[in-house]
Amino acid sequence: MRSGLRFARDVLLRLVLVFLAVSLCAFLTLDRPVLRQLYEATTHFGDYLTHLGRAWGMLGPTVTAAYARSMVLLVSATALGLLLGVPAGLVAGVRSSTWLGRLVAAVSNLGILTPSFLWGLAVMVFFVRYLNRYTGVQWILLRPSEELFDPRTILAPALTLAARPVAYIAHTTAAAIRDELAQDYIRTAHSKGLSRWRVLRGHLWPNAIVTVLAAANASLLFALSSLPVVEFIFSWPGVGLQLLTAILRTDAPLSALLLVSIGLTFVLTSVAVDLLAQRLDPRLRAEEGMG
Amino acid sequence: MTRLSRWIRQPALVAGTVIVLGLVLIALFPGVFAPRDPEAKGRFLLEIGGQVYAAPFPPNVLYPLGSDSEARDLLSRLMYGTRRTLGIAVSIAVVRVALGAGLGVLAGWVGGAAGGWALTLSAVSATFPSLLFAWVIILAIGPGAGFGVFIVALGLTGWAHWTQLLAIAVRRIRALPYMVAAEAVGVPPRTQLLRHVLPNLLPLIIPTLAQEVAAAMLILAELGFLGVFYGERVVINFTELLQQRATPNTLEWGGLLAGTRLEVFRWYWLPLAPAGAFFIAILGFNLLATGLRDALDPATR
Repeated sequence: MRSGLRFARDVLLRLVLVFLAVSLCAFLTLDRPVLRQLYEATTHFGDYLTHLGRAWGMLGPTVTAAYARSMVLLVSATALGLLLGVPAGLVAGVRSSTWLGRLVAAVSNLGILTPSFLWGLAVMVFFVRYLNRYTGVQWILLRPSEELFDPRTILAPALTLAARPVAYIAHTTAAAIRDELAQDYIRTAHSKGLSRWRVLRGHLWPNAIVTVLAAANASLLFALSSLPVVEFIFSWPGVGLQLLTAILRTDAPLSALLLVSIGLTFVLTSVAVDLLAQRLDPRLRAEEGMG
Repeated sequence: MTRLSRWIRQPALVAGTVIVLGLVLIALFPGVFAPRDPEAKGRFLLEIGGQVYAAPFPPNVLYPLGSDSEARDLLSRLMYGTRRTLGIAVSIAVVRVALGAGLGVLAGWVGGAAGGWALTLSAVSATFPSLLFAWVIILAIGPGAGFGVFIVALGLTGWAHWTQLLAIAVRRIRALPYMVAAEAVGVPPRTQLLRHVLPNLLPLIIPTLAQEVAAAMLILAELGFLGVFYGERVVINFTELLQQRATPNTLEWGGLLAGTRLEVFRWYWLPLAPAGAFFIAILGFNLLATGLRDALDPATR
């Protein structure tokens, strides 16, 4: 009970700190004399906090709509990351000494290093030059459109946003599997005559899954980092693109609310992943109980 | 086996060193490697493979990576821009590692409330995507800000995970038998930190620095693509960016990327050349970081 209260207190503290810190960033204007900055930042930020309800009333629908569109992309990208990254990581980990394992490892390393906009440009060219032409379907919006929400237009930005998560999850899964393969209990399992599939399913995967969950959480941060660039390339009217334009227009309340939505999303996702990891791995539950 | 012969057997270290050394040489002596003056404008029309083209020219014998819309050689512009881009990236990495390592050593060595707050600060900072934070800070600083302010602004992002890593490393070193012995014989804490802890953190910090240069290059590339770069403060209008327009007049790699979003369809070399340069630099520094980490790890000796 005590550890549960402490956990709740820690989560609440993180949420409040994130809310205050990211909101304050939106009110920064560092191109003026210091005292004037302090005065203006304090008054504007104080005004924003005291009239948060009114700000939300005016800007809430815009923020909510942009957030929903970005969440669709992020969830699609993370799901693709897990769907493609985990099998690729398993192959690279289990067959690390074969050409296939080395190829998957090399491609996943390259994927982590490649900037998102490069992926985005490549996907955009492929979709516009080839897929649009041969299918006759408009897969990409080259001008922002908030009225239309066509699910077909999700594919290109989701694929681009998923590139680094796929690579990172594959890389981390492979490393986790290789670490577990070196353990004595795996040698014991093989010597007992268990098939490779049973060792993978019954021993390797349950021990690697916590690492994979942590990798999924980290890949969400990669995706959040790349969100503005990807939304800009594909004119996806989500939080990233709205934030870029709001900051350029120096619309501080809208910027603050959009930044807070991103920050709180990540904190809540991290907390959810931690709780899920404790459910899946009894050793973490035991450590938490002792702590 | 000598240390050098052991290091030569590491492909990542060798490849990373070759790439980084190449970039450093180009940055220091661009005139030796570049085929042309970066500002020299060629003829507006050029015959390539029997066809006449207007600038920007595609890659050909005269312009290996193509030219921009003012018939200036892209390869030469990239080579002359290496110094500024590399200088900015290395400076950002130094600020990040100094900040992250400083707070990490504070958290691991001092501990207590100060250490707790250092870790909380890093956890809050880690929540925030680097690119967005950099965008906010850069635009809050406004146009005309100096080089130092630009570097510090970008250095304030992406340091958080090093704090946690170094805090763990310092705690691990403190628990080692020789540290316990040093404390037992009365070595002052400051001497313990300077003589025993910090030198043992170098195998962690040096590869970290290389990796952070790669991370800084990545953020410079993404900011440049969105139109924010040092050297020429360009006020970006998104309506303008969605249409085609000429790239800004700057030698910094990020600046060469600005405004190239739709030019990939007609003039693919305009975004691909600087993007390729960034990719090679990021790859080189990451390989160097991986190789150094393996080479400096005592467990592999």
